[in-house]
Amino acid sequence: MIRLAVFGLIVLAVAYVLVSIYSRSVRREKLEKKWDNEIKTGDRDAYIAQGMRDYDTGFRKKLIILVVIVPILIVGGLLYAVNFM
Amino acid sequence: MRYVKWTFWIILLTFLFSFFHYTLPQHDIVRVVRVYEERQDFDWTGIFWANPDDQSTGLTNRDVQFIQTIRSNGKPMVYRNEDTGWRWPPYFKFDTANLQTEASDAISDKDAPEWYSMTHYGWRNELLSIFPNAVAIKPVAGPDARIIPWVNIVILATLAIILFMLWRMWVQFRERSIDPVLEDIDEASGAARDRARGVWGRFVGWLDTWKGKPRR
Repeated sequence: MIRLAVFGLIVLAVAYVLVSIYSRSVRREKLEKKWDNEIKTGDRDAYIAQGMRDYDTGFRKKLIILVVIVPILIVGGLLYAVNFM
Repeated sequence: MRYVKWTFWIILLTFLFSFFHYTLPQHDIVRVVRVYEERQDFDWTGIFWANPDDQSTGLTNRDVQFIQTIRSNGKPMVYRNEDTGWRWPPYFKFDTANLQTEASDAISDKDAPEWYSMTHYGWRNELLSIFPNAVAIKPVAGPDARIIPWVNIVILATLAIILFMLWRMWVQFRERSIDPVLEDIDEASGAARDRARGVWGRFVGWLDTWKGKPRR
C-alpha cells in the first residue's frame, strides 16, 4: 500500500506539472493569436501579461488539480466496487 | 535495416498485446463444479501468482484457493482465487474468502446447470501450471449470455486519450520551445544554420528512416 501510494503520488505529481505547463503554454498561444488577429492595437506584451495574470488567478487553472483527485477517487470507487458490491 | 525495423515493431506490439491480454478483465460463462484449496510450490512461474507481503520474506509455498468450472463450450477451466491487494495488477481485490463462498454457493451439476459469468484476468497454461485469477462471479440467464466489456472499453479509451494528450503536449513543446530556438539560429547565420539544421535535420532524417524514406 505504501509503495502504491508513493509511486502513485509521484506519477500524479509529474502528470500535474506536465498538464500545468501545457495549459499555460496553450493559454499564452491563444492570447498571442487573439492579439495578432483581432486586437492589433496597444501594447502586445502588456495584453499577454494581463491575460496570463487573469489565467493565474482564474478558476480554470485550479481545475488542473482534478488530474490528481480523479485517479484517487477511481481507486476508491474500484476498491468499493470489487470488494463490497 | 528493414528486418531490424520489422522485428522491433513485431516484438513491441506482441509485448503490448500480451500485457493487456493478461492484465485486462475478461468474462467466461461457466458452470461451477467444485472449489478446493491446494498447497502450491513456486518456482519462476511465481510471477503468474499473487505475491503477498509475507512471501517476499522467504515463503516458497502456501495454500491457494481454486475454483473448478466447465465453460459454456464444454471445456474445463480452473481459476485460482487470490487477493491482488495493493499490488499489480490494480484490481484492489481483498475479498478472496467471500468470492470462494459465492463460488461454492454457485455449484451446480450437469442436469440442472446454473450459468455464471466469471470475471477474471490472467492466463491458463497447462505446461506452466498457471491459472487465471477470478475476480467476480455473477449469475447470467444462460450459456449464451453476452457480456459487453465496458471496463475494457473505458480503460483503453482512457489510455488512448492520455496518449493523445502526451502527443499534443510534445507538439506544443516543440512548436513553442524548440522551433523558435532553431529559427533564431537560422536567422543568426547562414553558415550556422546548415550546421544547426543539421542536428535537427539529421534527427528528422533518422525518424524518417523508420517510415522507410531514404536518408536525406
